[in-house]
Amino acid sequence: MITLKHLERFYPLAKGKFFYVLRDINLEVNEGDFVSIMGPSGAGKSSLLHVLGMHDHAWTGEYYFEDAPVHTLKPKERATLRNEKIGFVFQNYHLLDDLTVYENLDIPLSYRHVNKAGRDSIVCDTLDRFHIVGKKDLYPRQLSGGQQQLVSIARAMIANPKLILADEPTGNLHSDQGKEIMEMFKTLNAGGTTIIQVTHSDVNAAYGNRIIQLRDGFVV
Amino acid sequence: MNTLLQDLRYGLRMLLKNKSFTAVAVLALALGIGANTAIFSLVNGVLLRPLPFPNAERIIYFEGKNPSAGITESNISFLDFTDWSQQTDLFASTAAYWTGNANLGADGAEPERVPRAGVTSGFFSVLGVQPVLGRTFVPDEDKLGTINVAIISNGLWKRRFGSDPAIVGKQVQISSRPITVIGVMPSGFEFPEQTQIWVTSAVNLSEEPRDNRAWSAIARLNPNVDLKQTQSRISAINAQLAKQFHETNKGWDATVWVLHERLVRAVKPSLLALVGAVGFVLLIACANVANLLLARSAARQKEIAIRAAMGASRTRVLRQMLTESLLLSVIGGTAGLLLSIWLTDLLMSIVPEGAPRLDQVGIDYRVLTFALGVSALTGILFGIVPALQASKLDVTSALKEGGRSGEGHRRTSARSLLLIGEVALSLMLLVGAGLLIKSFLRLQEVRPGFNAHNVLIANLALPGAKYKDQQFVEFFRQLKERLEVAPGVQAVGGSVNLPLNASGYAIGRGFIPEGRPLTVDEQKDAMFSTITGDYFRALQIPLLSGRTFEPRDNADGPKVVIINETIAKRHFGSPTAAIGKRLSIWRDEKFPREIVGVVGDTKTGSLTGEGGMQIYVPHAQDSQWNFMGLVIRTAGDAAAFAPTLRREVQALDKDQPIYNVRTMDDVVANSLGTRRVSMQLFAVFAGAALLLAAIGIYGVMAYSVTQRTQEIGIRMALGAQKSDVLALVIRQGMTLTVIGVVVGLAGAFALTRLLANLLFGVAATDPLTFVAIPLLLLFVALVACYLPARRAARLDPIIALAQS
Repeated sequence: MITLKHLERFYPLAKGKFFYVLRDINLEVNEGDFVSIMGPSGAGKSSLLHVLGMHDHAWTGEYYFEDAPVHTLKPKERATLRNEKIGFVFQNYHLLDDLTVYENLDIPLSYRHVNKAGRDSIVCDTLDRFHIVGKKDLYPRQLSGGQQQLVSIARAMIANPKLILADEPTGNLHSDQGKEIMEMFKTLNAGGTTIIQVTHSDVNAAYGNRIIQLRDGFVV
Repeated sequence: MNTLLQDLRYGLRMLLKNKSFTAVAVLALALGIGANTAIFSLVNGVLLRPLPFPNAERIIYFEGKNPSAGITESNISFLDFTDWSQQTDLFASTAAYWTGNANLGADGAEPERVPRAGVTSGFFSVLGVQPVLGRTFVPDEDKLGTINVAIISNGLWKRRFGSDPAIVGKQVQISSRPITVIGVMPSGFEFPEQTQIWVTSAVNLSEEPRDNRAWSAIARLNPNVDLKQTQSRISAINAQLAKQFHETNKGWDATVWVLHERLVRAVKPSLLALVGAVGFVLLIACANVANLLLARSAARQKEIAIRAAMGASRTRVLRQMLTESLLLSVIGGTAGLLLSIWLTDLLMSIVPEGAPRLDQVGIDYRVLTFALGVSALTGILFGIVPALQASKLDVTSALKEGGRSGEGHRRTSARSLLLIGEVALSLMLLVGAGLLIKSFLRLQEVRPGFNAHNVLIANLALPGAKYKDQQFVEFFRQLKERLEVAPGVQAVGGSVNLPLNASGYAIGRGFIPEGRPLTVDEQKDAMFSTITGDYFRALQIPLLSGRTFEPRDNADGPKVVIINETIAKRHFGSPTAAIGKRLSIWRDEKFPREIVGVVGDTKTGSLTGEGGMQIYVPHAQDSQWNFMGLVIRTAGDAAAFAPTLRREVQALDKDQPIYNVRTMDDVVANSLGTRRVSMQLFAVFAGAALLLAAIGIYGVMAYSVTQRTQEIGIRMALGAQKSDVLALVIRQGMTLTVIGVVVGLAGAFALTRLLANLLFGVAATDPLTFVAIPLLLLFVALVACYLPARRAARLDPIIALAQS
């Protein structure tokens, strides 16, 4: 599903020097994988996730997503590809404060130009699937951290992506809630969704079938 | 007191720390307060400062009117005035006067034409003014045949007589008569109409016609008599006079004005409209500064939270914030006051010629109090909302996460409301300016009935002591002959009554078409002009039918008259049908005149008024006029002909001055003067309002984008394209703008009605203006929203997300 060849991400420094955050990354991720990226702080985990999520364009090397050469695509084409294939889950949930649960789920669909009737149907299905129908009119501040992250995963899944990118999805949750979220990821993975998560936790990494260790920008 | 000083010290430190914020706020306030103070100094000088006479509010002015004849403003009859004075116990003193000009004798210097007033002996007693040298007139001096004494103004005394302390008792030549100076008035006293010489006015009551409405009159009310009482008594007397003297007084009455009100009547509506406009600018500036303060208080949440945590009460926080805003307003007010001195000078340089009471405009205690009051009020106005917001801060959440809580929403609502207010006020001002500009354009399209380009005009009055009847005619005939052979001259003429009141004379006379009984009931009022030379050719007033006057229309020839198109159509059917018909200028002439020509209508008083009915007679057949408004059409620059004109006049009579020399283009431009200045100032204020509103919209949206950075990042991470983000931000800004526009439109509908009397040819609810101006504002708002929206669309979602 994903192939990275000699991918590098760096920031220019003074006097013509560069600071590398990712170096010569060569990676294969297959459809249905549940990959955990691990490593110490500053190793480049989140940077790799942003490159994979096509939010970051300032890198070199080759990136193939389902045979599509991302490195040759224009930003707009990458955005279209991302919207079709990828969902995101963040450590801080990143729900929109002023929107209800229902509206938060509706947002990604509206950016994909799904019509109103279609959106209503998908949002209702998703609320049902994630057992959050009763929370649909609540605002994020009225939910617990675990509930907010659950909504965040539901939002990531709503456009039926093939890949979920999760950046420390349980980082702000206590262990019971964390476990619940990881079980949810496992279920989604079992359903065919490819998942790549960044985590510091060995327990969470154990939910996946593969671990990639990063250190100083290198895959080790 | 100690804590107040502490607040002041801290406030000053904060202002110095945020120099760019302070500079922008002070600039906005200085402009707002400066413009308001400048306009107030004008209002103060013209409207508020009492006339420089004791108990000036008890001095009244009589203005004649005859509504049934369509006359709303007229001078009055001396005989009527005598009846009002004698038949009532309303007045402590009364005086009648006329204004004109006099030739001041050529005592070695060039002859000079100076404004002169002929007054009855009670004139100075009504006004309560004493001379600085000599005395005023005594009762016997206004008796017939005793015009041999004069009082001069302080300015004339200094300028022409070198402040001669022995001037009293000396003789000067005034209009070729030896007159003894008996007094010098105090500095600044020039009532009426910049008068420099006051002479006694002799009236022979037994010969004075009751319908000679050439007089002005003032009176000082007795104590316990009010204006309403006076008006009803005067109207009652007039009703009686109309019965008693049907032929001369039918329909005539008089309006009683407080003198001050009458003097400023023409400019008062414009001034009040400007006060409103400039007040709006200040409110918009306040809203802008309040928005700046709100943004700054967001950045200061942590500081305020720490203060509160340290034990500062809500009142203390409120006071601290208000102290800072008041400090800001005092600095802005001081800068504004300094700016207003320059702005007032600028205003004075553009106000039209002849605007009343401009000598009274300046900075006095009232202006200073106003500036101080406006500064304080402004400080509270723009400071109160941010101060209240700051004092209501939720300390816990502010300390915990830099203020990401409901406070932000409240602040955003306040900013949105301020923005809506700004847009609404700007729209009202812009609509007002739009209407005035449209009126002005309409006025410029008005055809005055003559061609003003390349025409020089000048007034010339021959002294009665030196010339008589046919000598007047001969003088002007000779002058015409001399002038028309001068290089570049195309036509020379003259009229007692020039269009647009350019000669200062406006004479109305009644005429009766032949075949009607000669009674007042058949009389038609017309503007009356005695003309000389090629008057119609000089002004290019078109001849519609018949002929203009010729040399054969002399004193011995058949009596002839030329009428304008309005009379021809109204009373004779058509210009062609009028030729050969006759009419009588019945109360002034005992013979009929034959209509030999019909000319086009001209605007007599102003471009806004109707020309009405006009009749012209040749000077040779109405030779009593020693005065003419000369009209010279030149091939090129008319103004350049003035020295030649002066030289040719003095070649005929070396002691004869000309005065009021100007081009007809200047007359036309000056007739629009008050409107032009009102329009220009309104446009400047509306422009400033538009700019401030645009800055306000930009500021609110830029702040909103900063506040929503993370949200925008999330949206982009969820799939929002650049166009989605652009639309999101622009929609937010434009929603507020549209609400502001709707509120503003409602306000404009209500307020522009107040401008109705300043408008010409355009309704106060002109649909085009009410559509075009909101579109303009929406476009400007769109640009103001687009800039922050573009910044939002260019946000890097990784950085935006990292902000959390």
